[in-house]
Amino acid sequence: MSLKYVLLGLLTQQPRYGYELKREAEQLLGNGAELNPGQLYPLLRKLAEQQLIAGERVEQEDRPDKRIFTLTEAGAHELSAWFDEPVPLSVGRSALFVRFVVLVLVRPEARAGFLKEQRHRLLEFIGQLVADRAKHLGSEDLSTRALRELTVLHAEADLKWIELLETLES
Amino acid sequence: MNKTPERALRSTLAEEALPRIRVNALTKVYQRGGEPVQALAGIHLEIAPGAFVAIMGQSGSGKTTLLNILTGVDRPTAGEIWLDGQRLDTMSEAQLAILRRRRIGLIFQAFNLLNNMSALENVMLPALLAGRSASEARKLASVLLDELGLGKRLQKLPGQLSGGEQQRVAIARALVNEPAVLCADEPTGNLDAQTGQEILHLLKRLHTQGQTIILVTHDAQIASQAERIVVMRDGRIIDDMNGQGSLPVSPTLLADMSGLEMC
Repeated sequence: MSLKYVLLGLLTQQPRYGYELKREAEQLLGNGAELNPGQLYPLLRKLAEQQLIAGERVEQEDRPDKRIFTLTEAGAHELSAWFDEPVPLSVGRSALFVRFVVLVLVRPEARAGFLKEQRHRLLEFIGQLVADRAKHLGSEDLSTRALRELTVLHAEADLKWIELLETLES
Repeated sequence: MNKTPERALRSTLAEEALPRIRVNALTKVYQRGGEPVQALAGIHLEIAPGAFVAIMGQSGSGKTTLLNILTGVDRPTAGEIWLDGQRLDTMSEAQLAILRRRRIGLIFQAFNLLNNMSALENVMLPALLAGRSASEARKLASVLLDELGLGKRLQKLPGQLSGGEQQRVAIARALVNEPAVLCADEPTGNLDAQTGQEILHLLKRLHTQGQTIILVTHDAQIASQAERIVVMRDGRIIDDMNGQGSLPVSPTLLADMSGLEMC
């Protein structure tokens, strides 16, 4: 349910056109984010149907009409209620976890090789993130920095988890 | 007897193929409370000249014991250690002390500078011990410190320097005798994240200039920046892989939005 609140949040600032919401949501979510218009526009329609936002048609001379979106009072309440809810804690069933348990079920002999391969990939990934961080030092927005640190720490947690499983194995 | 060009070439190649460090069937057993503790359980390792190798493991994995033995600080229980074709494990303490001074540069987590000597004197000291004249040692030390960005801090005492500056002095001290290997034991362990990254960046720069570096760390972020990562556990090498130092940076690392739900 995350992108919905990104859009509601952006609309608290001022009314926006769809393409502005796309660009600003990408910026807010950190460098490199790309939203698929095929997902964004249906979501805007849905939010308008739920009356959380209002879309007003703006005529254009030589192009199809565009819509400008504003936040409704119900939308503002929805956003406030979201802030008041506890943030869901990340749950353990990551892609790595699911792959591991299914692999151990189907190919138990491949377990050690799988864990080793994941360590290689994670160390390589951490290496790239750390090198990328050094390259952009001091020249980034908060979202991009926060996202990178979150990603590095998750990768390190995965690495520790792999180490733990390897120790259990021996 | 003159060598034919072909033979000369072959012997040059053989020289180049000689590893900087070769470790064969290395073991170390400590006695702890009357009980034998196996710190190293049969290590085989070759490190090429100019390599930048991280030895990564948790505390108790044997990584520091391995480094101490490689640098002649500690002795193995069994096994061979060769540095540039010279065997270390059979040397006397006196021979080892000379080799350590001339061929091995050490940096530590706690910097280990002499607190009553200036930055310049700290760096001069190993050069003097290796037999250089005071003026030579002074020149070498000041050039190195200048290269490491401390040209204006030569006369400061360690206590007047920041952690990052102290570690750079320690790196200059380790490099002053142009060691065959620069060995670093958790060199960023006492530094904040950003200063740690700067020291790491400095090590990467030294590596590109041809310095052979062995870096011991528990920290995956630090280890990941080496050219090669050797992973240790329970006194054994359990993995050996290429690191970031051997890879280009991908331009779209953070682009994946799959973590964000779209409704």
